[in-house]
Amino acid sequence: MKKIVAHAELCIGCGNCEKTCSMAFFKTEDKMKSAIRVSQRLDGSRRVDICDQCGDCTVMCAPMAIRKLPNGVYTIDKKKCVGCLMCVAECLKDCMHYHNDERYVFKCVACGLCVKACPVGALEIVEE
Amino acid sequence: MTNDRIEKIKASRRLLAEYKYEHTDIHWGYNNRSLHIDVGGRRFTEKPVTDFMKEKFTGGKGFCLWHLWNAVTEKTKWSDAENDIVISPGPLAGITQYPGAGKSLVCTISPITGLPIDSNVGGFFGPYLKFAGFDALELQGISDEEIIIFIDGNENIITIEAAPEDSVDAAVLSEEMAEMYALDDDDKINISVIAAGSAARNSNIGILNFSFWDKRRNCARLKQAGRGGIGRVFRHKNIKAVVIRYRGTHGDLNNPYCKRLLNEAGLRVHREMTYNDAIQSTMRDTGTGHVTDVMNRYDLLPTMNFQYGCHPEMDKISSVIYRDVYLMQKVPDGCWYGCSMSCAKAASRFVPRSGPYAGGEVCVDGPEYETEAALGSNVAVFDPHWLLEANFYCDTYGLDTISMGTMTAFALECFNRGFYNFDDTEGLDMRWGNGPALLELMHQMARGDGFGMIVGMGVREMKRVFAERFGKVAPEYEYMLKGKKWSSIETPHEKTVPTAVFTPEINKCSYLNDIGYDDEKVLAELEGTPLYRPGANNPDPYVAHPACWEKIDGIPTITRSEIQAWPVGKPYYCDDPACPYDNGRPWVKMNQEQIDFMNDIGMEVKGLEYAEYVSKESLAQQAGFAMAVKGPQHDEAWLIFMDMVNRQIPTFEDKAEALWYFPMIRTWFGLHGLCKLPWNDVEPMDNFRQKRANTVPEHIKNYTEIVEGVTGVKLTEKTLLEQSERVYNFQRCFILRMGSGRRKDDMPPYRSVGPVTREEYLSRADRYYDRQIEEVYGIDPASKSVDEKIAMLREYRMSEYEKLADAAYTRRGWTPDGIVRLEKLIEMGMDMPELVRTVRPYLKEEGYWPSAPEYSKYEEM
Repeated sequence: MKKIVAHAELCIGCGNCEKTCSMAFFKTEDKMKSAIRVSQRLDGSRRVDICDQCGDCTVMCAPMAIRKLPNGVYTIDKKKCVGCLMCVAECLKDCMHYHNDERYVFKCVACGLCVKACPVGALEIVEE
Repeated sequence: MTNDRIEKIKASRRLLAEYKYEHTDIHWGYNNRSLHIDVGGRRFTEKPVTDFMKEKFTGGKGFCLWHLWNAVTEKTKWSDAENDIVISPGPLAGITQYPGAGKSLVCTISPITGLPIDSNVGGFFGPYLKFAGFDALELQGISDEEIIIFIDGNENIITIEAAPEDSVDAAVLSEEMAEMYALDDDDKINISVIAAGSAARNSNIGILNFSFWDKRRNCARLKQAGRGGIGRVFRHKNIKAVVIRYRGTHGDLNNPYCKRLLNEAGLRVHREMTYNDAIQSTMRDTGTGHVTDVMNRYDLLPTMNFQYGCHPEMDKISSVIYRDVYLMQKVPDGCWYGCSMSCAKAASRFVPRSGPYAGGEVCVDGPEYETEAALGSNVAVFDPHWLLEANFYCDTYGLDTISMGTMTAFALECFNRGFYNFDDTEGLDMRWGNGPALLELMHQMARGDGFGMIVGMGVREMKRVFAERFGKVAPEYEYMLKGKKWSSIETPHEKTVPTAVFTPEINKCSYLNDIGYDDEKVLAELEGTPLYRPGANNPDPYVAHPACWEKIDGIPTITRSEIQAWPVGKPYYCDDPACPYDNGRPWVKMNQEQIDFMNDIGMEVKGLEYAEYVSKESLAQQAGFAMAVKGPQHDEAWLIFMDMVNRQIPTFEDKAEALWYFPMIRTWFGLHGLCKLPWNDVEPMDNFRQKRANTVPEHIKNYTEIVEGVTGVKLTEKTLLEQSERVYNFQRCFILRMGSGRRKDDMPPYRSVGPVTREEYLSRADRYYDRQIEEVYGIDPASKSVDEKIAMLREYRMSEYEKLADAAYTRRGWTPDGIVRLEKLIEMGMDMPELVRTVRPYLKEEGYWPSAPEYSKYEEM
């Protein structure tokens, strides 16, 4: 299974990963259109939310728009997604995303662009 | 489905009419046009949806009623060509972001009540109709041959085709249509079918099935517009199915005014479902079936024609049994995209044991709570397989499970009390708990023969038939028996009726034992009543009134023991020369006492059968049922839970207020194409802290936001309720126009108010009745006989009902006779000439017509 693993303790909060991700998916630099999200806790430490490809999001998907690829990555089939947001609510790890401008939900497909963009090596692509 | 079958259907099809229309995008939830199809003249008309319609009627049920009002006159019968079936999803229908937003509302003049009926239904048809370009669909006229209407929402073409070879039963037909019209397997999800079923033509309780394709189970699933016999009207018009196809569904097709509001509210509720459902309602896990267990525990579950409220065998048909044994692929699923409540359930590999589909694998949705109660406890069938099979056949034959259960329970009780016998049923064993006989009734309705044809007329007609002319079918129903004399119909009952499964252990005495009563004490209380003790010599303790068998109208009749020994199917001819009956059944004519008794136990108001709640101990629910505009369906005022379980409306004023508020909020869902369940079946965890917690204020706020999100209309709770009030009162005026809708029409049968029989009284004497007698009359209940106490209780409870009716009518702005007052019409902005003309004679007669000069213009309207 291919997935991105974040080492939040190394993160410096530069936002490069989010910009790279939204640029790759939506051709815009918008944190809210990124499939990886970095936030700061009250104590100053950082939290990085990125999909671990657990597949829980598929349970509620009636049109069966969430597909598992051979490499273990779950992707959204835009032709089938009806934008109901049930998978967004169902993801307890807050890794399924939506944006009011977009018809479809989006999530990390472990493409690895963010890993390359990270200047401090806080992100890692792993294959199990 | 074999390809040969599809090819054969295709070859038999003949194009009768075609209509092309222009596609326009939906704007803020409305297409601003509706489609009228004259199936007789094969004409298509596009009608504008005007601002007037949107302002006064909002959409959904409002549009349905407005179109129906314009289509019919006060003389229109259900079977007339001008009767209109109107289907309308509301302005919010088709959004995917908020749960329960795929509902269609269906209205027509009902065969069972003669009044406008409304029914709401899931499935994909409503949203697809909107995406195809129409806010409502009217089906008027009667076709001279069997047809199928196909709406292609992508190509914008509508066709009417002659369909001689297509199936009629909904489960098969829906799959045939998906096979025929879908481009490939993936496209089946884009097809939705409206179909009735073969019994819908033969009974007053025909339903419409709205299908959706279940990708995971790879079968068509059916959702039902169940109440009031709409399916019968549909089949009477010779329509086999209306099929729609729309490819490209996504959440923005309504072109919402502000998507952010929609997304935010939707996500909030989705999250509540994810976290709260498992601890509040278990809708995802067991569906509405979980209510069965609650109702049984609280003694509110209709048992044996609403006599009792619980049954020790209920655990055999508990929702958990269905979840664990029958329902396949245990994943949550809903009847429209985005329904995170996901109460739908399906057994996709169910094998029926009887009828034309015996032995094959079928898919059946359910069973819902109502069905479990109606076809389970109410008819004393406690076998999960028979119940699910009954559910399947009801759906696929096009029968309403609720009415089917209530009317069968009534027929069973009448049989068990000896009001008719084996001869009248052509050998069908109508004793309690006979699952196979229950199924046989449905097969008879589908075939159009046998005793099922009488039962299928509904409780109101059965009362008349039993009382007056049992064995001599009324002329108006003779056509249904295809010209045969009732008594001469040959039913091979020995072959078609499987061995009766009568379960003697569910007789009353053991039942009372189970709930803590002593047999001897009960029998002593019942004194001289001829209620037999169970045992080897008396296998049937329910035949409680043998006195009525001996002589009726002075004519000696066959004795009970003779009847029991009588060969199945052999007619009995009375040899008394004075006998006025020529059909050999002299004992069937009833005396007034028996007729009154039947009126007490026949659970119908306005002709519609009761939905499945025992309202005896809940005054609010008694009124909620009996005052409901279309008839006693709980979707208007389901107050029993908050009255009896949550105890949220204790005082008289609370109840009267609830009888205003809840019909309004429930009407509101119907106006917008929403399902009621996500409103209050799963709530925010802190809801109980809210003032007026039973209205779930946070969800009401959500609704105002999604209305604004889609239509751009800013609502408050007050204006939201005003939308409903306009349509609710319009419907009340509509039924007045059709000859009902007065106080006398809102009177409940006594069994829904209190105990009719001694057994019923005794089964709850300790908990409710004796205490009430003591409180109200201040006497020691032990000093009175059971009959006296029943009479006293009846007097008191009916007076309470009347008082509540007064209070509720006043709160609603109606006169004591239940007529909408002119002042109310003006206040709501509904002082349309049609409505003023409708109420005017009644208001004048009652003395409530206002005489002030400012009202003079309404004199001339």
